Amino acid sequence: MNRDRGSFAEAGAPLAVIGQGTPANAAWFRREFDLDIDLLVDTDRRAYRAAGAKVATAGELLAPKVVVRGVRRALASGVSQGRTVGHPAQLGGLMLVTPDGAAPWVHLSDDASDYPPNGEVIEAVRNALAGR
Amino acid sequence: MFGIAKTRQEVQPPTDVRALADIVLRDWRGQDVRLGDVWSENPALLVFLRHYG
Repeated sequence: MNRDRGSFAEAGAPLAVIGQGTPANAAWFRREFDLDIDLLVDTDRRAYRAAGAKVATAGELLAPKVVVRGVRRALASGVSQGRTVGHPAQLGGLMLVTPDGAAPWVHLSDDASDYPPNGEVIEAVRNALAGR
Repeated sequence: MFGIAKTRQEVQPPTDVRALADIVLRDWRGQDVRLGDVWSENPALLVFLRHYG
């Protein structure tokens, strides 16, 4: 997503990236992947819970179809998963939020491999913000 | 084990993001950031990563 951050901003929604762990974990992640975006940390996962993100079952983390899809996605993006920081079964997601307090587009992961491609997300953001 | 859910959960996206707005997180520098300030003037795409790693 870092590579496409300009496209997200052009679509009307700059990225606000939230992860688990500590500021030191986020600083390491930012340095390791040469990221040029601000990162937030949700150490106690309050924001994850408020967003409605789920905690996975073993099958939603490790089922063959999940692993295969995750590997395919990693190969396509050139980014693979490293060490686990924080709750190992916490899943993520994407949420478009607007100043009026609405969330006109949300995608919360159903399993560990469930992240839509950036192009689909950019299009969804553009469509959701059209006419608002 | 390891906090893994025993039974399948459903995602529960909020209908109103005010529940998120007053949550204060820290940024990578260790500074406090009120989440609602992120989208107070313009839309934002919140990206919840599984973890930094």
